[in-house]
Amino acid sequence: MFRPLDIIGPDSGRSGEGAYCANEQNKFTEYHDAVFEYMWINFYKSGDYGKEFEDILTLEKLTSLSADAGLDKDAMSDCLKSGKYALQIEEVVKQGRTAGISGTPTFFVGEQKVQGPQPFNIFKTLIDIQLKS
Amino acid sequence: MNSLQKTKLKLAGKSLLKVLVSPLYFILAVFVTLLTVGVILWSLNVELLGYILFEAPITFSEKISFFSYIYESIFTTYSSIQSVGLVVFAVLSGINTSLLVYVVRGKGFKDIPKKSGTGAMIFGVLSGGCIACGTSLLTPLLASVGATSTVLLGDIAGILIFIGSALLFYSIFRLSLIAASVLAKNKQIDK
Repeated sequence: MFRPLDIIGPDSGRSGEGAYCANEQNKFTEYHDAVFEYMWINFYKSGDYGKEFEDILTLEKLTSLSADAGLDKDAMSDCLKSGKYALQIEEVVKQGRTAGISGTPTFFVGEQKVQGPQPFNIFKTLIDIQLKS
Repeated sequence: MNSLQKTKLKLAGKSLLKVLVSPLYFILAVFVTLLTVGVILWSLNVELLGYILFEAPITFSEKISFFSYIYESIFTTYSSIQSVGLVVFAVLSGINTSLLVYVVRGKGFKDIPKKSGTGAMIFGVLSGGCIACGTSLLTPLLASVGATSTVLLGDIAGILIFIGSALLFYSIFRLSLIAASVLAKNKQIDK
């Protein structure tokens, strides 16, 4: 299960809402990969982390990225404009705070919290433990 | 740089090498280096580590393997600058500790540069939490201004690890000079 956590920048929440909109078209993974790849290739790869604070992922950019990833552009645009998932995003932030999450990425394998991008074997061990029990 | 400073640097370098060629101090430096990397990378997930060590239904060797998995992430998960910064800091910590033990054994606790060593460790732990991304000791502070994400913390970590390494470098320099006097007393170095 994936939860988009709105923690930084004005476009964090918007792109999070986009995740729910993409899910309506059963294309969450395509959307997720397109957005992350765009930010990585254009900014983070070269160390331009300051873009975190800017409004890069505008409604137009998100719909354009979605269209390139094979999503219905008009449906995506309408969904984002409607703001129907805004409350959902707020709720995720509240749930995150309750669960002690204050950064990204954070994972839960069963009840165990894993913070940061950890190696494959750490997740494998935790999943194996879950499967055993 | 004047000639006195050059002489001091040369002397510090010589005594540092003299200490580290001793197998005991070399092994100590390597051990502390590995431990520092482990502690920094695991600092984000102390609760998880506690669960694995004390509660998880896995064998002892699996627990050891789990602890060591974190080392795999140094050059794969993080950016090259973060990785190099972390390794440099850990190596300097190892050397610093080794020298510290040598000096304490030779001269006791007096003259030890406490401020730079302690400061370096504080910056190291803070940047360690950062460099491992996500959440760290800095998180509550950064969260108050709405800033906690992998990439941003990674950036801040680079600055902190640089300050920590600079402090450690200074501490090593000071300790090496003290070690020189211990070595001279033991007639192991030409002043």
